[in-house]
Amino acid sequence: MATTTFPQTRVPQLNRMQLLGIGAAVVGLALLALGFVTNTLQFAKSYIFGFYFTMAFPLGCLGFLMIQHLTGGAWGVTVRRMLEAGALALPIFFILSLPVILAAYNTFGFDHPIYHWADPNIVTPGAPEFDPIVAHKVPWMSAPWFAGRMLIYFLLWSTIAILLRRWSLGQDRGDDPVAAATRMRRLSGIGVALFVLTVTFFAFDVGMSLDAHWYSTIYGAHYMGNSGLTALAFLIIALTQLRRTATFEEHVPVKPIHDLGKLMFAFTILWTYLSFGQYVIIWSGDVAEFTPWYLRRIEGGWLFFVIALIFVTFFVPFFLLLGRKPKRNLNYLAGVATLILAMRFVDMMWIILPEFHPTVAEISWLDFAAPLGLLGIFLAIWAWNMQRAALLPLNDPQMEGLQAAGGHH
Amino acid sequence: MQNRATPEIYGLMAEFRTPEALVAATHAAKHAGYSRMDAFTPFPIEEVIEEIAPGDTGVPRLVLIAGVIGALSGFALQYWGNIIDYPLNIGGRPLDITNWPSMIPITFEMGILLAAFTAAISMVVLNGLPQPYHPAFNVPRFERASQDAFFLCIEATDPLFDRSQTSQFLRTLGPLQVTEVAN
Repeated sequence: MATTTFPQTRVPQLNRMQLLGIGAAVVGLALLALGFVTNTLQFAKSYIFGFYFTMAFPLGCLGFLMIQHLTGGAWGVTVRRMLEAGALALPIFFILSLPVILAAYNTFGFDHPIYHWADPNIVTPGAPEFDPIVAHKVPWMSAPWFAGRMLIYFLLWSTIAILLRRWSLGQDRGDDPVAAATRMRRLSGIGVALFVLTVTFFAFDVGMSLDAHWYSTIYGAHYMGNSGLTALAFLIIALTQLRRTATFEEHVPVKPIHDLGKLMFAFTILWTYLSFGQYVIIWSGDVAEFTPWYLRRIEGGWLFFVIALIFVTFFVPFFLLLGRKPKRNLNYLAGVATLILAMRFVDMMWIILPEFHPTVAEISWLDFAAPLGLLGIFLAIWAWNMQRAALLPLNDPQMEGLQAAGGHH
Repeated sequence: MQNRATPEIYGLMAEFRTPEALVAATHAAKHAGYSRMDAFTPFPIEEVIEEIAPGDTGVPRLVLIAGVIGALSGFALQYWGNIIDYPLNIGGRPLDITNWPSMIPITFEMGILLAAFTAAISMVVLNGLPQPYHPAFNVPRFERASQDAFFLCIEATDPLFDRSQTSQFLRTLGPLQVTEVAN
């Protein structure tokens, strides 16, 4: 086991991805600024949607980062640096959550606040539109506690991401790699449990509470499945840019790529299981408390989204990823991953936007500008972090597993 | 098989001390054009599997067919039972095909059930198991294949197999010993 220091890497592809991210961020944020001036209400709605969609990238990276520390395996050590770089976007995304918190406070002074639980007309006893069900939730669903929870979530996620990164880079600099691996595994064990709780409540806060009446206990799990699928698709696409670097050519065999393909296949099924599980339970119960959420999502043209989700999010990737040989071909996998990523966007549109737009014709251009800008920021941060460390944690004990899987030609 | 009626021996078995030596020997044998060979190791070695694995085991196709049949029969069973033969009003759910969401869990389970059984059973059967006797057992020290020794066997049915030349070839790969495997 060498204890050399690995220089940070100069990879032109990463530089290109960083520029692409900055470009997308500039265009997206400029459009958002324009939207803020012309239509502040639509800006706030689109921003919440874009934020909810984009958060799946850093959260999925953090989740998989902890999981691969716990499970080990050739795939984990292959993508660890990519996961660290993605998870390190979380502190920046705390700053980017500010417009969502402002929307919860109704700082922009909309007549009807986006979050109904923040509307005094709805939650004040005796008010004209008083709704006892929503008012009942106010002790939990209030703007200060919403902001406080955001602070707790992002503090926790950022701390875990920064510690795991620091200890992993310590291995590169010659710290005892086994001790560092043990530390990272212990933190990940606690971290995964806290991650499941915090992401569930994050999804409840930002996404589910847009309809303050409705609730589904599987909503948080659905968002985690979505985050996992999003992160996997992103990793596979990003891997096409790194595969031909000298580091990856030397150390990374085909097995970890095959494993990532299998994981993407599994998460495709998991997403279907969670999505359909929620639907079939509510459909079977047929209770007026729960069905309106689905009714809003089949009326006004949203039914086309359902059909696209069933076929293009489940059946098409399922059969494309079923065989063994295709999963060992990175370019083929990246093609499927692009389709999956596009459908993640469609899925999140269907989950969030019907709360704002009863018909698909009302979808605003800002609903595309917000994800573009935020995703650009994520990509730029990711590529920037990737260039500040070696592409693989070469001193980690897990690297031996990668060699045994057929690396080191 | 084409140029000899019954091979007098099963094949030639070379024993190696390390997995690296076995990997190198497998590569060399593949490179030399041998195709009918098998390796015996205490643990799976990915690179050896890649070289000697038969291209198409037939298992994936069988599993797919079984999975589809399982899913279709699961759906048909419920459709026939709940809609045609004995329609019951359960919670006001429709008594026609629009009741399909409630049938998906069983459809899914039946698909998995048949696919999983087919995968396990066809794996055993297509591997020729159970097989109480195998010529490889005649090789001295072969029980070490499940402890610390790495064996490569080139079978007599290989088109390129020649008792003396193949034996010579295996000896060039640095084995501990090369043994003829009695049939």
